[in-house]
Amino acid sequence: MGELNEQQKRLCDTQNGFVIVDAGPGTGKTYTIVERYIKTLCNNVSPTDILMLTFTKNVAMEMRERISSVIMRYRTDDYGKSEYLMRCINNIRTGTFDSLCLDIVINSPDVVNKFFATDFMLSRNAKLIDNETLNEQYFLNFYSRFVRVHRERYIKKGQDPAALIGENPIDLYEVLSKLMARGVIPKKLEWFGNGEKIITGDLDYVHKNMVNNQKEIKKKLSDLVKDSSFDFISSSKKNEKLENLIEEALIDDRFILFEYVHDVYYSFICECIKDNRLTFGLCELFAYIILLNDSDSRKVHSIRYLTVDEFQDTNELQMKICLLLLKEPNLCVVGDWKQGIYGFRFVSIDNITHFEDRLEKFIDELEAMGVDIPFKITKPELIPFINNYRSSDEILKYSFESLAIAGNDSEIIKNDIITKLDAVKNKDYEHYTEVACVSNETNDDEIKSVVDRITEYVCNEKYKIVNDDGSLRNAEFGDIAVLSRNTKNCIKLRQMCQDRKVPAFFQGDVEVMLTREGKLALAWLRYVNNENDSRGLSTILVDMGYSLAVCEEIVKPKKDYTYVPMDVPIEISNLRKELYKKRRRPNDLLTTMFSIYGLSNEMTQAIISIISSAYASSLMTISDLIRLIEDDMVKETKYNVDPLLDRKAVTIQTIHKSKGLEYPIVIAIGFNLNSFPSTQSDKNGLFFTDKIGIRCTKSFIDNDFNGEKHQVVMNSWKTALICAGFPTDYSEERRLLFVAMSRAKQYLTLTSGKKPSNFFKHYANELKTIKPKSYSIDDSQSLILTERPIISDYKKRRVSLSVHDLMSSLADPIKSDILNGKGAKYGDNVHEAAHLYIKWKVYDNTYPEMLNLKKIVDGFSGAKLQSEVKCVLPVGNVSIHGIIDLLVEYDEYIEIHDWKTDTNEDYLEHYKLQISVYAHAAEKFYGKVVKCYIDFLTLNKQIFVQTKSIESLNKAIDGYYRSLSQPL
Amino acid sequence: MRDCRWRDIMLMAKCIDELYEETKHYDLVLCNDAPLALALNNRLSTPRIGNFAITPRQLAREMAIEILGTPIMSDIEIVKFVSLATGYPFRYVHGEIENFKTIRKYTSNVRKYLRNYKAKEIYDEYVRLPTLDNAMEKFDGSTNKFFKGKKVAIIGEELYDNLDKNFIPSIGNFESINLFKRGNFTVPKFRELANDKQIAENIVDLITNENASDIAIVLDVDGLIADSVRSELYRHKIPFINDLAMRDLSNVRDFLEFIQMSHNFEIIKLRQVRGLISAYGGKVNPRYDGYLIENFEEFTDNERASELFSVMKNIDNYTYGNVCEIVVKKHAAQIKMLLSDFKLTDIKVNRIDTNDIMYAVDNFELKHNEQIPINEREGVLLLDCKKSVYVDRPVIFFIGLGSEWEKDLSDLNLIDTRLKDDIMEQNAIKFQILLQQGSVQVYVCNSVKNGKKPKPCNLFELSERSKTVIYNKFADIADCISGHWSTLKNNNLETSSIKPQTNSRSFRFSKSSFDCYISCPRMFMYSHLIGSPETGDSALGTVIHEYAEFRVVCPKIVQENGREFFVKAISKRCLALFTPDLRSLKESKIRNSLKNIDDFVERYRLYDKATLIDKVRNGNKKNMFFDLFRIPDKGSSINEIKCVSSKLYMYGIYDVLDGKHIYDFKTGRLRGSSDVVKNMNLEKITSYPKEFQCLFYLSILEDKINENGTFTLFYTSGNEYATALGEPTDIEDSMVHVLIISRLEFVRNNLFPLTMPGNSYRRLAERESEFFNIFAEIGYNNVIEDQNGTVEKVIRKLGFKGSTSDREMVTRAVKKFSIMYTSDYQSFGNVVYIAADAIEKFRSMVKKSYDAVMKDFYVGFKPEPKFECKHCNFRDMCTSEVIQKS
Repeated sequence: MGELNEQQKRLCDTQNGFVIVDAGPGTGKTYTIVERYIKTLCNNVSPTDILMLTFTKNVAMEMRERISSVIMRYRTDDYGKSEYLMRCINNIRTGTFDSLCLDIVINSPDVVNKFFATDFMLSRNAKLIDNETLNEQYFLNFYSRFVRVHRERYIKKGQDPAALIGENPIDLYEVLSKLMARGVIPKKLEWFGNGEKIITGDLDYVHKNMVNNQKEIKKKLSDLVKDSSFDFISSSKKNEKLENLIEEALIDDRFILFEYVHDVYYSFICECIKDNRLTFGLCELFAYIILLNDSDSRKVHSIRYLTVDEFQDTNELQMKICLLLLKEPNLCVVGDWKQGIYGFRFVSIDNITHFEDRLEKFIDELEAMGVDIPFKITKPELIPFINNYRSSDEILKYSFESLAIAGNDSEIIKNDIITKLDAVKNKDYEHYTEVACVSNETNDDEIKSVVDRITEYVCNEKYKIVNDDGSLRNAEFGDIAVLSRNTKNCIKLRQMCQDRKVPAFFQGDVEVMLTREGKLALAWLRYVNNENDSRGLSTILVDMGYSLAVCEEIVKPKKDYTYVPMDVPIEISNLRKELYKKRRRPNDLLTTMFSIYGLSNEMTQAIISIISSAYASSLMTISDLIRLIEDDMVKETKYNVDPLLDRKAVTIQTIHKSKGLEYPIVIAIGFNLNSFPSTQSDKNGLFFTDKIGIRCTKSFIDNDFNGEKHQVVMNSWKTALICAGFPTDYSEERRLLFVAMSRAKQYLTLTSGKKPSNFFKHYANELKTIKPKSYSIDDSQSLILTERPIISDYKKRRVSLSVHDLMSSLADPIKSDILNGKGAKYGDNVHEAAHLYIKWKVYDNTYPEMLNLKKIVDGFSGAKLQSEVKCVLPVGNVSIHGIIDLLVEYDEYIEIHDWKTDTNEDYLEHYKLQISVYAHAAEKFYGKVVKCYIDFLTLNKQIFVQTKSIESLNKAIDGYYRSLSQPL
Repeated sequence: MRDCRWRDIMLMAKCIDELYEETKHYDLVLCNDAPLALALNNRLSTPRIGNFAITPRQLAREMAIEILGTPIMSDIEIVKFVSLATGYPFRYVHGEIENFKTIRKYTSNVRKYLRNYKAKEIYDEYVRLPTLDNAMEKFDGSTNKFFKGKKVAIIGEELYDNLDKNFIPSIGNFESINLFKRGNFTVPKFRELANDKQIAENIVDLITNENASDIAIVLDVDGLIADSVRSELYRHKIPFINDLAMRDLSNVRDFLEFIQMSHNFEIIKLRQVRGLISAYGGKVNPRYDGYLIENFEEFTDNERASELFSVMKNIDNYTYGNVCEIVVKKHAAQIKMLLSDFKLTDIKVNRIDTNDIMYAVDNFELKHNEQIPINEREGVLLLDCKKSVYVDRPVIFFIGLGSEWEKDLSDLNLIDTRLKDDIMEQNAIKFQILLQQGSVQVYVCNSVKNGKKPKPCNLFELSERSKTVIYNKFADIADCISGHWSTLKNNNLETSSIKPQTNSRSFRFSKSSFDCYISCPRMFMYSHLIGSPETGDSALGTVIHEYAEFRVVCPKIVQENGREFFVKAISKRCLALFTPDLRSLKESKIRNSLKNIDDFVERYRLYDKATLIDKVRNGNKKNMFFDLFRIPDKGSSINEIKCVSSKLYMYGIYDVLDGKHIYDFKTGRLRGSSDVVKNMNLEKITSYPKEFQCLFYLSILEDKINENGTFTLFYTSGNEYATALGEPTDIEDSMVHVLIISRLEFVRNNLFPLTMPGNSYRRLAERESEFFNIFAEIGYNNVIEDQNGTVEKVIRKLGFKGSTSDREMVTRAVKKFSIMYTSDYQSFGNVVYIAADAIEKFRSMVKKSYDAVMKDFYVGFKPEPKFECKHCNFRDMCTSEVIQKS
C-alpha cells in the first residue's frame, strides 16, 4: 500500500474522541492504524499513554513490529520527528486482552481477595492454565465436592437443581464461562450489580417473541403432545388456549436454580483463588473487578489513547475493561461485524454494531457502581473504509451476497447495515478473476473434485496470477487455499492430496489424541504406568499385528478379573522397562516410544508438546497425563498442529483459521446440508442467553403416588416452548461464509457434496457450475536437499568436571543414590554447619556429627583455617573443580580434611580419589607438602590418605568420559 | 548479492580465550555472567585454591556471613519466616517477595512501588532477613577490605545492575576490561528451515555422541521449539544437560498425588487412582473403573489395594510420616526427607500443609537426594536465548532468532519506563556477545511462522550501530540458505513371532459378541479381549434382572418383605456407581422398574409356570437376592435360561423362557419397534450399536424346539415419565413384540389395515382377496419387477375405470406391496415382523460370520465400522487408520 486514501486519512486525523472504524476485509486497516499510531506519537503523546489491544500474541507482536518499522523508515528518510520517535521505540505498547488482564491481576491480587471476601488469598504467581481439558477436569472435581457437601441445601419446593444438572455438569461450566464473559459476578450473598437481571433474561421480550412466532410455537406444541419425554401433560392442557400456555411457560420458577448457579459460581471462584489458579475467563473477570474497585490500579494501568483491533471479537466484559482503562475519551475501535465468527467464545458482535448505545449504557453502569469516569462521552465518529485492496469486483460482489442468504427455507433475514466496498484492484484483475461452483454426486466425489480443481488452477495456463507490479504468472500450489467449515473435510482432503501427489499441508487444529499416534501414546502410558493395564497392552499388541489368539493368551483375566499379562513378547516388556525409567521425562518417554514405531511427524510433535508442557507446568503424574489424553479423546479436543512445510504447497485450513489471511485462489468446500451452514445446536441441558437468561432444558419431577416416591428428570416443555420462539439463527454461519469468500483475491470456487446446502444452492443458481478437469501432477517438485553445514575443525576447550561427578561415575549408580548413608542432602546440611563452626564458631547441635567435628577443629592451634575453599586442578584438557571442606595451613605443610557422613567405609576408595584432587592442587598452589584426611564424622573415624597419582586421576577421567559414550 | 551496507553491523566481541589472556595475571576477576566466570576458571592452566573469576552474586553468597553476620536464608526459609511473621499464606507471601525481587532489579526504592499495606508489611519483614539481595546491598566495594592487596579486573562494567555495582572497588583499585575489540561482526549466513520440528531435526542431525559435549544450542527454552529439540535429542539418544529438580521426581509426584486424592476421597472414581494404586502395589479390576472409591470394600478383595484405600479414606488420622511408611514403603528416603524438611513428618495430614508442600515442590528449587543420571549431566547444552551471554562451547547453534528471542520488559511499565532504554541497550550488548560465542556457529531461522514469514528479533536492529536499519526478514541481515539437509531416519520395532496355540478353539457367539462383530470386527476383537467396564446403568440392569428371577420364583418372599425392601437393597448395591446428585433419581428408577416387573409377572402369572430349581452360580453370575435370602444355589426354572445352538455356534441366556415365548428385560430407555428394526439395518450408520438380539434368540429357539417362537422386549422403566407425572400407564406400552411370519401373510395382514387405511383405499381394501389373487397369478417376483405392468393388470382385472385417482390408488398399493414383500423386517405399532425366510438369511449370516471369526482369530480383525466410531467403547484403543464413518 502506498498513500492513504480519504477515509484512512480521516482516521489518522481523528485523533481524539470515540471512533468506530468499519473496516471490511482488505481495506488496509492494520496499515492505517499503524500510521495513526505514529501520528499520535508525533503529537507529543508519550508511547506509554498509547495502547493497542488485540487478540493474539502474534498479531500484537506484528503490530509492534510494524510500528517500529515505520519509525525506522522515518528515521532513514530523515523524517522531522525521527529523534523523538526513535526514543519511543522501546516503549511501544501493544498487547492482547489476555496479557493485559493477567498483568492487572498479578499486580493487584489483594483487590480480588477483598472483593470476594474469601478466607483464601490469590497470589501474584497464580498459575494461568490454558488447557481447557484440565480446566474442565478441575471444575468437575470441584463440582463433585460441592454437590456432596451442599446439595441438600437446594432440595426444596419440589426441586433439586443438582439432580437436574447431574448428568451433564459440564453444561454448568459452560454457563459459568458465559457469565464471566458477560461480566456477571457473584458476591458472597448476592449477584454483583445487575447480575440477577441478566441471568433472569428479558421476560417481556421472550413473551413478545413467543406471541410473534405463533407458528413455531404451535408446531412445537403438537410435537410435545406426541413426545412422552416431555413433562407436558397433554390431557390437562389439551383444551388450553395458546396464550395461556405461553403465559404458563413464562411463570418463573427458576429461583432455586439461580441460587444454585450463584453458589456454585461463587464457590468455584473461591476454590480457584484458594488454589491460586486462573483461567483466561477468570483472569478477565478479576481484571475487571480490580479496575472497577481499585482506583489506584486504574490509575496505574490507565491510558490516554486506546485502539482495539478486531473489535467485533470483544465481549461485554472486554469493552467495559477498555472503558475503565481510559484516562481520556480517546478510544478507537476497529473491526468488521461481518467477520464476527467467534460466537462459541461467548463473543457477540453487538459491541461494534451497537457501539454508541453500549458505550452510554456501560458508562452509566460503571458510574452507577461508583467508578469515577474521568471524561465526558462524546458522540462516536463512524469512519467506514470503502476501498478494498484485495479482491476483484466479482469476488467482492458474491462475498457480500453471502450476508443475505437464508440458512434454511424458513429463515427470515433481518437487514443489517452493510458498507459495500469498492474493489480497487478491479482493473488489475479484470481478465483474471472467476467465481465458480462445483457440485458433486457424493461427498467423496467432492473431495476428489477439489483436488481436480487444484490441479486445474495450476496446470491450466488460463489461470494467471497478477503480481503486485501488474505482471502475470502461472498459478502455483502456494497460491491456493482450501477452506472448510470443519476439520474432517480438511483431513480427508489432505489425504487425497497426498495420494495424488499434490503438495498440501493442513494448518489448523486437529484432534491429535484421536490419531494413531495419540492412541499409541495413551496405550504406552497406560502400560508403562501399570503393567496390568489390559487396555494399554491390548492396544499395543493389536497395533503390532498380533492375532486375537495370541493376544488372548497374553492378556488373560485372572479369577478376580484383574489382568496379569503372561508371556508378554520380550521386545514389548523390555521396551516397557526402558520407558518406565523415563517416567520423569515424558518427552523422552514418548519420543523413545514413537521412534520405535518409526514415527516422527507433526502429530507426534504436537502430542509430545502438549504432554510435556502439561507435565512441566504442574505436578501431574503419569496417571493424570493418561486421564488428560482420555478426556481429550472423549471431548475430541483439538490442538494446533504445526504443519511440516517442505515446499510451496496448497494451504488447507478451517475458515476460522483463515481469518486475517488472503490468497490469490480460494476453494471453499463442504457446502452440505447441516454442515455449512451448521445446524448444530448450542443449547445444552443448562444454558444461558441474553434474552432467555439461565434456563434448563430439563425439569425435575418429584411426585408421590400410592405411597411411592417417583423422581425423574424430563424434558421441560416450558423451555422447549420458549426456545421455539427463537428459531436457529444462521447469521454467524453467513459471516463465516463471508470470511471464507473474502479471503480470495482473484479466483474462487465453491463445492458441495451429495446434499448441497442453501448457501451452495444460492450460488449454484447464479454462477456457472463447472466440472473441473483432472491433471496429473508429476513429483518433480520433490524435496531438494541443501548442502549440509560443515562443522569445521575446532579447538577443543578445556572442560570442567566436578570432582563429585568424577566420583559418582565410579560408583554403582543404584547404591550411589544412598552414597553416604544418610543421603546427600543430610551431608550438605552437616557441611553447612561445619562451615559455620569453623568460620564463626557457631555450633549447631542438630547433627550428632558436629560433636566429632568440633573435636577435630578445636585441635588445630596456631594454624590458618579455611573452610569451603574452591579448588581447581587442571589435568590435561580437563579442569577438575571441587570444594575443600577444610584447609589447614601450617608453615611447613598443609592439611586437607574432607567430612563424610557415611555410615560405612564402602566408598573410601572413591573418596581417596576426591581428596587427591585437592591435594595435588594445594601442593602446587602453595608449594608445600600436603597431608590428607578423610573424616567419617558419623563413624567417628579419621583416615589418613596417601595421595593418588596424577596418572590415577587421568585414568579416572578417561573412565568417566568412556562411560558417557556408552549407549544410554 | 545483497547490499553490503548492511554488513558489519555489530561490534566485535572478545572471545572467552581473549578475556582470559587479558585477565589471567589478576588475583581476582569480577564479571556478572556466571558462565563466563566458570569458563575463565576452567582456563586456568595452573592449580588454584580460592577464587579467580567470580560474579558479585557468588561473592556475596560466599561473604554473606561476613557481611550480614549470619548465613543467607534459603528462599523457602524466607517465605516460611515471613508467612509466619505476617500471618499471610505461604504462596501469597512468595508472590509478593518475587515481586520485590523484580522491582529491586531496577530500583533500590522498592517500597515506593508497593501499593497495598499487605505488600508493605511483607516487605518490611523481608528486608530485615539475611537475603542475598541484602548482602549485596550492604556490601561496599570501595571500602571493603576484601579487595585489599588484590589485583582486580572488572569485566563488562556496563552490564552490571544496581546491586552488582556495589562490588566494584574504589577507582584506581581495579582495571576495567572492555567487552569488545576493534572490528565488526555480522552473521555470515542464516539457514532457513520451515518449522520448529524441522529445525530440530536438522540441527540434531549435526550432533553425534562424540561431539555432544562441544555443542550448545541457544533457543527459546520455554517455547515449543525446545520440546522439538529435546525430542530429537532423545530420539537420536544424544545426551544433553538437564536439570533434575525435586518436582521432576516421579515418586514425589506420586506421593503428593496420593495425599491430594485422599483429601478428595469421597468424590474420586477408581479410574482416577487405578494407576496410582497399581504403582503402590495394589490391584483393582478395571471393570470397576466407574465406582467411587469410597465403596472400595464392595469391589476389591486385594489386600494391598484395600490397605491403600483405607489410608485414603482415613487420611485425617494419619501423619504424613505414617502415610509415607505405609504407602511408599521402598524408596521412601526422598519423601521422608522432604517431609522432614517441612517438619511435617509427625503432623496429621491436612489440606493446608498439603497445599503448601505441593506449592513448594512446584515453585522452589528444593534439594533432593537423587543423582542426576550421567546422560543428563554431560552432553549438549541447551541455553536460554533470553538469559545467555557467554557460552563456553566451541560449536554453537543459534536457532529461531525471531521475536521469541526478545525480552519482555513489561515489568518496567509499572516501575520506570525511562529505564527501558538502558536495559534495551544492555540487552543489545549481550545479544551481540552471544551471537559471537563459539568458534563454529550455525544460525538457523524459521522460514514460516504462524503462516507468515518471520521477522528477525528486534535485537538485531538494536545492535546496529547507527540504529537506522529495518530488518523485515532475515535476508535483510545476511544471506539465507533455504531447505534442509537431513532426511528422517526411522526405526522399526521388530516383533517376535509368537505362535498361538493352534488346538481347536471352541467359540460360540453370544448375542452381544455377535452384535459387536457385525458392528465392527475390530470392536468384536477388543470386546472379546477385555470386555467393558461396568457402568452405573449396566450394574443396575444386572440387579434388576436378578430381582425379576427372584420375583418369579419366590413371590411370597417378595410380598412379605415389600417392594421397598428390595428397592433399598438394590440401591445399596448399585448407587456407589452414581454421584450423590443422581442417587435419588436412580432409586426412583429402581422403584419404578420393580413395580413394572411385578406387574409383568402378574400379567403373565409367571410364578405359576416357574419352579424353584437347583442352579450353580459362580462369580458374577450370582444373584444377590438368592444370596440374601440364603438360597444361593437355587433359581427359577424359566428365568436366565441358557440355550445353546451347537449347529449355529450361538448361545443365549433368556431372561424368561415360557414355552415358545421369550421375554427379555430391557432396563435402558424405551425404544419403539421402529428402533428395533433400525438397529438391525446395516445401512444405517447412525444407529448404534447394531442389535440382532431378537433374530439371534429366535434362531436359537427354533433350533431347540423346531418351531418359530415369539420374542418380547419389555422396557422395565418404559413408563417412568408417565408414572412420575401421575398419568395412567399400561405395561403393554413398554413392550415390543417380535413375530416371525411368512412374507405373504405379513403383507396380507398389514397392507390395508395398517399401511393403507382410510377411505381413499376403501375400494381396493374391499376387494382385498381378488387383489392378492391377481398377484399370485402374476407371480410375486414379477409384481415387484414390473410394477407398471401389474398396475395395469390390476386395474383391468378389477374392472376399474383407470381414472387418475384409480391409477394413483393402485400404483401406491403395488408399490407398498413391493416394499413390504421385499423387506425382511417391518414395524407396526409395537410389533416387529420378521419375514420367515429372513431368519434363514440371518442364520447364514451368523454361520458366515462364525467362519470368518474362526479364521480371523489367527490373523486379525479388520476395522469395518457400521456405525460412527465415536460411539465405540474401544475408540481409545483402535489405532487403525480407518476412515471414521460420518
